[in-house]
Amino acid sequence: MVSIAARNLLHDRTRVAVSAGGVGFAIMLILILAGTYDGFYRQAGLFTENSGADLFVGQAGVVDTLHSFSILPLNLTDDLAGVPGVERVCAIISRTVELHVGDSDHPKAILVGYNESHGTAGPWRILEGERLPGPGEIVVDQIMARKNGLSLGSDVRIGGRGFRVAGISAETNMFIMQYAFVRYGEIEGLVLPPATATYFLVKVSPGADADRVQALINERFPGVQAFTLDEITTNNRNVISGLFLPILLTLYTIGFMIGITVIGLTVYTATMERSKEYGVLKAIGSGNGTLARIVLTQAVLMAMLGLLAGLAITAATASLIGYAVPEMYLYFTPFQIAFVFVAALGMSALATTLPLRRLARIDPASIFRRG
Amino acid sequence: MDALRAEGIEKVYAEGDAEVRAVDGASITLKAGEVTLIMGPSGSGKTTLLFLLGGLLRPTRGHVWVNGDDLAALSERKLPRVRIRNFGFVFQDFNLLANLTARENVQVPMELARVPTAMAADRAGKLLTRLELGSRLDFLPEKLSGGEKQRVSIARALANRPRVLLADEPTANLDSKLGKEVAELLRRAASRTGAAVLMVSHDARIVDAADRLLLMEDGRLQAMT
Repeated sequence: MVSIAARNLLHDRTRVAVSAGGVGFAIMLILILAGTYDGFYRQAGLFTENSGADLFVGQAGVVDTLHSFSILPLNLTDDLAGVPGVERVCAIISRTVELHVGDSDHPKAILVGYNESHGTAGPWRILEGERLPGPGEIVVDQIMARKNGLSLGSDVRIGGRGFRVAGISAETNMFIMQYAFVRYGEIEGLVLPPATATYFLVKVSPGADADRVQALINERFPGVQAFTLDEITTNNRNVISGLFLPILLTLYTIGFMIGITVIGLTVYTATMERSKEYGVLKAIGSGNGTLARIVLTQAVLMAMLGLLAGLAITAATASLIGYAVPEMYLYFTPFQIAFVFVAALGMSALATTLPLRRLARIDPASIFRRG
Repeated sequence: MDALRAEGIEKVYAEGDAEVRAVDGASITLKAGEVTLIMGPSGSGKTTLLFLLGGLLRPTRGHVWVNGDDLAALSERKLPRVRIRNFGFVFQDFNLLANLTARENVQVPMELARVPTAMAADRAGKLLTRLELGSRLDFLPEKLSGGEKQRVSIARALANRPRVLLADEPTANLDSKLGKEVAELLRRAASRTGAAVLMVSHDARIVDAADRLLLMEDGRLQAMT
């Protein structure tokens, strides 16, 4: 079929460009929100996923590591190690603290004190320097380093004690804060009372059933609660879902409505200014179905142009955000692209409602002069 | 052979409490290859009659038969298909699709009738060439003169080899010379394709092109010759 839809739509290129930009911004809004949400969601599970443990043990009632606080006696280490199926137990400290950098900067960090000999809970990706901090050393996140001018050999202070930056880690950003890693012994008694820990990371023996070990721990120690790695990771991510999803859905809806409005206005204008021609098509034998296809094609074309514009605007915006607000971690996936593609098609379908109603009412006889 | 037969058709409009009888019991038979011209003053109902014969309006009473179908009895869904198969329309102000070339304008009705695009383009090219528009195939309507536009419009009307070609004031926007040329073109089209041509017009200069002349007055149709 001669492309009446494309010809009519592209006839006014300025209008198409402006509309594609409008739809593009709506798509960008949806994508950036999705990228932010998925970024936060992913980050919320990275620490536990990369901990190397099979079970997380915390104070009873504490179900996640993000906004709950657990404190347990250190001597629980031996008790847990005695549970059948446990290979080793590592006590860690995980607390939000202020780092003192120079004289004036006091960035907050999630400080993790861990026992390097157990091979659990440390930084999992190192960009520079050492993965395992030695005595008096600290590994800081790359964003923390960049924002505060830290590099290998820089000095930071925590609770009056000095640490030298020995490593720069990646993937250890958590929203507005970043992880920092030191040896357990370095901060024992500094950020928690002496002989206490926040969590115990349990590694089960080869061949042992982690669920069985979890059940045994929960049964034997009423004051503690053990989670599998999947459970604690999911719990952490549920914190993000609970916080962000309602806001996100609202903003998605706004972005979607903006897209529908822009496409709708463009297609409606393109349809109405050619209404006489649609009357001609009806008169010569075109049914409403054919006219609907023309209008729908225009809407889909508009949406696809908007999608392309949206992807370009998103790429530019994401790059700008990465530079200006590095802690805002955007995580893009093929699913999101598929989602905005489907959203754009949905926008097209809804945007044609009004033009199609008008087209259906066009009387083919109206294009003749009355005699 | 009868290309179209209408019997006792009436169109009554309500205007407030009053009834307006736009077409009052008109009967007409259009024969293949014959040119019929309906003349009459403005408001006499001749364009309404054209709508009724072309299936663009439904009669209040009466029947219009084309190719075995009674247009008055067909559903709204089936009417477009019957129109595209049986009718060609020529409009007073050409009504070409502004963003399509001359060739594409002629292709449109063929493609609506499900003729494959390549074949439709080829046929449109040949049709326009026959109407001496071979050098204007890829011109947009805005680049064509009034006479050329009307010839494209006639080519579009002939595209699906219709049984009936309905022309509403086809010469109204053309000067005298071009008007006569267009009327003669319709006359030749009727002879060559066997289509029944019905023109409604005020233009007395084109009566020579008609085989039969009818007068429409106050909704009633009567023979003049």
